[in-house]
Amino acid sequence: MRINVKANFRITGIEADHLEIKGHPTLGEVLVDLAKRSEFPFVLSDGKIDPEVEVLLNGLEYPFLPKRLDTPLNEGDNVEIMILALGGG
Amino acid sequence: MLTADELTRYSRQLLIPEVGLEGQERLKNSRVLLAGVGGLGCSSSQFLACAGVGSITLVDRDTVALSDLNRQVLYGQDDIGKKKVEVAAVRLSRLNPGVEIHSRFVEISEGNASQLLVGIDLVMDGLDNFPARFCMNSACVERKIPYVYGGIAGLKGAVAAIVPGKTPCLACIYPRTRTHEGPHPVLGSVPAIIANLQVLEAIKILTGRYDSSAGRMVFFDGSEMTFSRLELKRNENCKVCGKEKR
Repeated sequence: MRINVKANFRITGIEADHLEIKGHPTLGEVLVDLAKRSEFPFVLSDGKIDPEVEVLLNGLEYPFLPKRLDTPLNEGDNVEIMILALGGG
Repeated sequence: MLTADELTRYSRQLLIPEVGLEGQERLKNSRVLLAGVGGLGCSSSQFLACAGVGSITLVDRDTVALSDLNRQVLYGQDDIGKKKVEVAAVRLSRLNPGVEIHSRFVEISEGNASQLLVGIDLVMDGLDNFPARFCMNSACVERKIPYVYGGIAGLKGAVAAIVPGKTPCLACIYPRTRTHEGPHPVLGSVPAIIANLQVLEAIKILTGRYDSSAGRMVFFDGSEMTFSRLELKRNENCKVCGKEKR
């Protein structure tokens, strides 16, 4: 199964903005895998997402998904992982 | 050529191989624009001046307020109500009389950002909002001028040096931003940390020693005392520096 993954920082293995995965893992399971491929540990030790990172599935922020990180992924889903802008100065 | 006084003033940093005499002369001939003289800018401007950057242009639209004084260390109680750029210019000149300080009391906008950069070698980000940052980013990409982004929120901060043509630009990194309502939470030491990392990046660029950090962002988390380094991704469809703009 192929899903599309966009991030504003480098994650090894998604250079072409997509990822081949087996079965139907959940969003959370895929994020754990992607976080291990990044220099930025955006999945915290308790399994939560770093609050400075925004995760969207098909344009919807994950906290607004009915099953949140337990949402199963499907072929062609679009996952966005963006480190949030720090705007103060 | 450095004067005898300058050779003494900068003697400790002349010992650093990455600076040296050649690097110091490059700093002396450099012209930096500091966009915003708030929490970040008050710290970065002092170390840019102390390091011997030849010319610093301060741009800010604000006057000093009591609520600035927990972090904006160029200002004191008796400066409340005064223009930040004017107070800062006096303080910085006292720190290093050999540095030319220019003051511009204006708001950065699409209409003036490019014009502000005439004759400038590098822009330091000391801004407190993203609309102005994006104006400055676009103008820097247009004029191929390095831009050292710095941002903070609470106990966190981020630094990224943007070198047009070599690294992703700010609009690549942040294709969208959330609008922040109300004042940003900030403890003075956090912008000071981030500003000093910005200065380090700026000096590396100005002295021609910039390579290892290109295209990376350093992310600081003060509650965990961690630094993370992220390799940033260029957005090929970026409306500022994407392939259609090249």
